[in-house]
Amino acid sequence: MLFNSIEFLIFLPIVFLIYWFVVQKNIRLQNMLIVLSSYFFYGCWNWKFLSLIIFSTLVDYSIGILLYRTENSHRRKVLLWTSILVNIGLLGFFKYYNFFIDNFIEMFSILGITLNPYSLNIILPVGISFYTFQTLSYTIDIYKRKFKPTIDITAFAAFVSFFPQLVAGPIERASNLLPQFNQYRKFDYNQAVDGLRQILWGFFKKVVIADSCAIYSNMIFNNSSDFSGSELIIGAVFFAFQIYGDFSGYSDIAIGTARLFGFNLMQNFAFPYFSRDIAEFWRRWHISLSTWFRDYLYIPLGGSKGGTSIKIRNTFAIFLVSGFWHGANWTFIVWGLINAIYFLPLLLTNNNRNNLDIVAKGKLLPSFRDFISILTTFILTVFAWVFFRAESLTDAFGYLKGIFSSTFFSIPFKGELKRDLILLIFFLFFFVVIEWIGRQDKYALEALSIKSNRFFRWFFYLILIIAITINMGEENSFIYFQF
Amino acid sequence: MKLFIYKLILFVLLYLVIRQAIIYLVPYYWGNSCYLSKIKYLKESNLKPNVVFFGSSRIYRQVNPNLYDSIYFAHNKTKIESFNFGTPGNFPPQTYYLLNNFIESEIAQNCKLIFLELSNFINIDKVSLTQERVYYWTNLNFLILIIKSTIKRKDLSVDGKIEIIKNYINVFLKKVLGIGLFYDALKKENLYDELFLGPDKNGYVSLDYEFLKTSSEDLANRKKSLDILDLERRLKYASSRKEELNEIVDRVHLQYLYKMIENASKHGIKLIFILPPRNSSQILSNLANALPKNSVVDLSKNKDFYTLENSFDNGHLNSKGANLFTYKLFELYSQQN
Repeated sequence: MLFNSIEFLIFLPIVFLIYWFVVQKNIRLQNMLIVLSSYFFYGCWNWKFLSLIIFSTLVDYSIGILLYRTENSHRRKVLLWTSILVNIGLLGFFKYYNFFIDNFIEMFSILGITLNPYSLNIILPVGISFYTFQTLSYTIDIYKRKFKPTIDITAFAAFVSFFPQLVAGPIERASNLLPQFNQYRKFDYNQAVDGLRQILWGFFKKVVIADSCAIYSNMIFNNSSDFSGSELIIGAVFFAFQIYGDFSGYSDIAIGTARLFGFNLMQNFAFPYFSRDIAEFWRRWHISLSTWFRDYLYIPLGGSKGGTSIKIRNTFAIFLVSGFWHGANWTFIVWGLINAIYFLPLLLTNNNRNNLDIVAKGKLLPSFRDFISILTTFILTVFAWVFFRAESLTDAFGYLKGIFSSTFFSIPFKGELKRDLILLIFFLFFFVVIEWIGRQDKYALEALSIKSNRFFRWFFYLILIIAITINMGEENSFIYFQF
Repeated sequence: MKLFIYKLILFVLLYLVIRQAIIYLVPYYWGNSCYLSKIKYLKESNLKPNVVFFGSSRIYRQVNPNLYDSIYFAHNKTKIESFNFGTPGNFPPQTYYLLNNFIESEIAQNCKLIFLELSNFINIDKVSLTQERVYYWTNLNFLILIIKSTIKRKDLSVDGKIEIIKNYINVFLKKVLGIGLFYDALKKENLYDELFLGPDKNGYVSLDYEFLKTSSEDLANRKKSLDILDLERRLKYASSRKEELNEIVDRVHLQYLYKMIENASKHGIKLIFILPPRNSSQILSNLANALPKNSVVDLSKNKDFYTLENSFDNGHLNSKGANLFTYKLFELYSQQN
């Protein structure tokens, strides 16, 4: 079931009404409702893969309790590694089996040895990269004695399968989300209204920005040899907005939906395209994943402590694994590698924590220097996105070659802009302005309730809804569903 | 909580009021650019045809109104003006929606005869689910009609019935929410395309003509895929259909067709159903058999419509075949009435 579907529009109010009108006085029943509705939500995509979520839930629930009760260090390690192997094993099999087999075969073919290929027709279960990481963080935190396990299986199952964030994050930490399932939840008007507002903004980002940009970015990326250098640049820029609108839009819808039920999820995007350097970008993009890798991979490897070689190793490790997490393709690995190359100089010169606050805080416009920094960082990320979007390394290099060709300075689309493209540029401009104005908040519209009267707010909401219904055509799935 | 629900309902009502206001601005045919182009042309030319043809591409590509008019004149020495309202992919309930609205409109003032392609209710699939042309016409009456018809159908499995009903509820809700509506209200003039009118501006566009004009790759592929074995199979299937009144008839659909006949009659219009070639099924035959005999023109079994000579692709006739189809349509209708 997609968020941007009629099915979800029917599903959400039903669950909401039952949650707050039927079972509101009983936490266990509320949690049970969340589990059942989450399983239904997921099952609408493929009910057979519910077994994986249930399996992962039961394994980590059991291991969590055993880990807490066991003092024997060897046994604790065995339990931890069981959890890691089960979760990474599931992820590895469903996501990477064919990748490894294909590369294995190719490697041998280079040596002149032909192997009989045995690729499996494996369907990637939606959300597996997210919920496996979520449950893994639970067992790791218990192992490190940072967190106590829950004995309430319903609460734990609800934590693992919570439908707003099940299929594309944010990847929640047990310390943040699990206690919320054990607390009495009272309906909060302001929280619910804010949640709806965030959902609306999320839909705008997804339907108006991301899906509209996708039309052009897909057209250009899929036929890159037919376009000039300047048009290829535009295609890459459109993809940058597509992926941001798509993913951050999903996160906004997830967070907003969770708020309707009285839950607070972590912020997943903090206006990354206003970053002044790559380090800041990675503190603002897909925060739940980058902090996961920081806490469970980077820091255990030594982090930025130790000599230069350790720092370099750890930086490459985290970015390459992050790239690989996104998909079983060399393009994602190269994308991670490029970002590592961007990040490393900042780390080695101790400039990776220069810009901790939002740009131009308290000011209307950025300084000229900040503007150039923002622009430079954006261009670097767009360059890397080419690899993320391309189907293969050959396509990616071909795309870049096309950009840096003699047609680099040619007038794009021969100066003839279709009405749809003009409308899209207008929406992009509107979007960037709204995001800029709201950059100091958790999401762009958060301050709207404080800064404006009801008439203006409702008018603004209607404009957004009309813009959404104008652009709502195909029910395009979210990009990160494939991860 | 009450305040939240109250404000939410208020906001939704406000949105629906705006949506309803937009609906008054857009014409009833806003989601169908082919039909829109035809209506726009007739309005601007102040033409009010006497005979019209409604249906899918099997009408749009296969009924030549100019030819129909000249044959009619040759037989009756009376001038008439007919028009082809066929549009690609136009199946019930969409066809019924357009026809019902047409009958109520000013353009139907001089209309005495409507030929309507007899077809089953379209099964909306996942691919077409989000196309405006699939949901712009839906309303509560059609939704109830489809649900009743689908539940009573004996040729479908339970899963099949659930899928169809689910998809129709989906498109109905899209219409309620006005999805796509606002954009079309803004850009409706731009949906007009002269190509839909055909070379003689009578709504008929043969596939040969369109192929010549557009050199479409899709049409080229369809032409290439023309296969005599497929045509023979279709003819065999059409010929094997039973003619007797069958108990497995969609009574809900049949009842609705009778209502349409009655409604047309109230406006002084005769409604005649066409069974075109290459789209027959026993279910359709059952429906045809249950209708008054002289209200159905069955052209589905004529062998001439299954030859390579008269075909563009496996599903449609070429211009030569279309002329023959128009002639046979007139001939058979005249014989029966």
